[in-house]
Amino acid sequence: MSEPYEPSSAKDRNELRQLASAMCDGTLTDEQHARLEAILQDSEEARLSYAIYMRMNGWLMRQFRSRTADGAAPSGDGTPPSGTQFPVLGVIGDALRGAGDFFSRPIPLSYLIASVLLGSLLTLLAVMVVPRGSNPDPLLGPSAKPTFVAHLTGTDDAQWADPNMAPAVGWQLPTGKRLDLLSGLVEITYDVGAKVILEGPAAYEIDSANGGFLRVGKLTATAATKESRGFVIRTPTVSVADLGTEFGVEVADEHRTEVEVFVGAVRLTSRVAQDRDAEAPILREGQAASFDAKSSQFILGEPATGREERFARTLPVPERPRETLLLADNFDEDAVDPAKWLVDTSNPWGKAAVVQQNGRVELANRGMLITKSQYSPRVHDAVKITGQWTFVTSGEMPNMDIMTVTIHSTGEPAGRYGQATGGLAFFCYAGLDFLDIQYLGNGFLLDFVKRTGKLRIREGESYRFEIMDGGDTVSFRVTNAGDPSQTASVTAKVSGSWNHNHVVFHNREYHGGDGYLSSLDHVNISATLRVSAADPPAANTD
Amino acid sequence: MARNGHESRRLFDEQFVRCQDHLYTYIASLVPNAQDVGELFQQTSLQLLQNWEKYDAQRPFMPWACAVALNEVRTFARQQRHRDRLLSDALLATISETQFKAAEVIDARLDALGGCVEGLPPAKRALVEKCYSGECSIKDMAASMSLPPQTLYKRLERVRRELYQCIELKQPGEQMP
Repeated sequence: MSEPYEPSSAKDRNELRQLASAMCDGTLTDEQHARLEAILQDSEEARLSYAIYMRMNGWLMRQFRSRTADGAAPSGDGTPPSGTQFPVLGVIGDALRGAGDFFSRPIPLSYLIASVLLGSLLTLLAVMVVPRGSNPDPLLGPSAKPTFVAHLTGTDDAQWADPNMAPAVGWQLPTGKRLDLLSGLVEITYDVGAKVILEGPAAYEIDSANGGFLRVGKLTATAATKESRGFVIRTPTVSVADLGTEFGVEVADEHRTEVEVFVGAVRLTSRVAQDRDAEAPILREGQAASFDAKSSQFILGEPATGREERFARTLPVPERPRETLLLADNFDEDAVDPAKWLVDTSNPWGKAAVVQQNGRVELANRGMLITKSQYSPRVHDAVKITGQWTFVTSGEMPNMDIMTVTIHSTGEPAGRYGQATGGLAFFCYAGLDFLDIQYLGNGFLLDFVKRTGKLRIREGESYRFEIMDGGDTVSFRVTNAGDPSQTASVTAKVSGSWNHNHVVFHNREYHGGDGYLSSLDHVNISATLRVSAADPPAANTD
Repeated sequence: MARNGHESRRLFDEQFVRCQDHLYTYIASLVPNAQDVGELFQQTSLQLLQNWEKYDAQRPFMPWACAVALNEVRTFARQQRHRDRLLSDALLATISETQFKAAEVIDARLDALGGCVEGLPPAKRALVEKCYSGECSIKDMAASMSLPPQTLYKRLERVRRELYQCIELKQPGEQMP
């Protein structure tokens, strides 16, 4: 007779943990298997702990499992790609904090009672993954590095399944990259020259350097270069191979793939028929075909009339940004340019300084660098502020500094901590991995509409920032200068009015010790087009 | 009518795209072998696509999708149980039910997991990456490192324990045992 599981017993919790781990590794003995089943039958608390543990195991699998591990074909050989190809982890977050005893406290039943809302299951984990660098452990050797084969080259009103991990225009895309698009259009340009315009809702995976897997939805593919000859779109039932082409593919329902050729020709191959070589029809310009998996037959024909716009063949041409540079400073001279800047070092906590040297301006302990001119979206439609910030040191308390850019400010310090007065402040917190926008003083209301991405913010690293001030909408993006895949943004609607429009840069006030030091470089302020609430600035990768 | 059908399909597609990660980890909670999870995930996706018209857009998608997945898992488990020491049919259903009851609790922890992995010391993170990459077995890895496999299993267990602790510590209120 097996002993009952006692959730309050550290020994029992430890045992369950070990059994769950052995289950993950496939090393359970018969005896352990029997014991695990007994525990799980006995205790709801154990079942929940076990479920969390195993879901965690699944999450790790999904993040790290390489393509070949599931036997997926890397390119068009007719083998269905696996759904488990997620080569690298791109999520970023807080550092591991502390440790406690595993399974350390009894399960609170209130959790169970309070959590019957099944809708919360739709709280999704990261879908869009971003490649990371090499494995630093010499014992383990280099990890599989991502192979970048394409770029995201355009979007039009794109809504991603997980906006937190949405790629931005210009990002490199590796093989294995999945693009789960709820609505709108995105354009993917392969390095070989092929282009895909994906129309949401759609689930697409870049499964090779010259092809992709369309699980559901529709796309238009163009393979106009010599290098992209043979470009293949695979669906659950069909492979569509380019023969010098522009074509549309729609995975319309569970059995059917529809193909339409606009230019050139494609070769169609069933992926479900027993004898795949027996039928490989060539579809030519102006022709359409559908494949029914039930009958394993291609039905050739003309495109249905009145369906000219069934496939999106181009992205709407974006308006050219009418960008006019209003201020630029790389801080290469020996001193702050008085024609551009004002300096205030009167912070009440002391030791504030603003020093231009080493090709940058160094801000210490809330020394303020203030634009001499004022910049208002009333005048300029929208104002864009970009630059590069480096968290140099926080002395005895590393990763405690704060990058702050304040707009619509009087340019004067105020309050107990000597922050810039008035306006909107954009904060980037080292150590907290967090971006924020706050209004300072009166007259503003903020309504956050969007946060995207995650960003690890650490001392010693440089970050490019971009602030868009469209008057009624503001957005703030920060990107790791050394790793553009690490980027985050926050967008907010603003209501209110302001009377001053200086831009102020400063860091944190002095708190003892060596104090805080950050540096600022490559500051540009320009007049540009208005920013949309749904469209935070692209990753700043220049 | 056609418009309604189109709209239903659109809703289905949207939910289907959204649920992929959740569905995968759900299956993994019942069948721990990565290759099996991949197969079952594919099979479940196919079943969902083939039966999309049965989806009632007025009701939550995930319970329906997970029910389809559970059927696939149970069929698989009946065939494979002896080989893989999977849980009994009844326990698979019970574990599944537990997850529905505690959906918020579980989701909150998985939401925190990315940050916890990122916060692992480099060597531990590398171990996780390598072990979960599927590039080679733990035994092969251990051999290449001149370690007994048991040592590597133990290390992996410790890292999992750290991750579990971490996701618990990131919860604002009470923690799970």
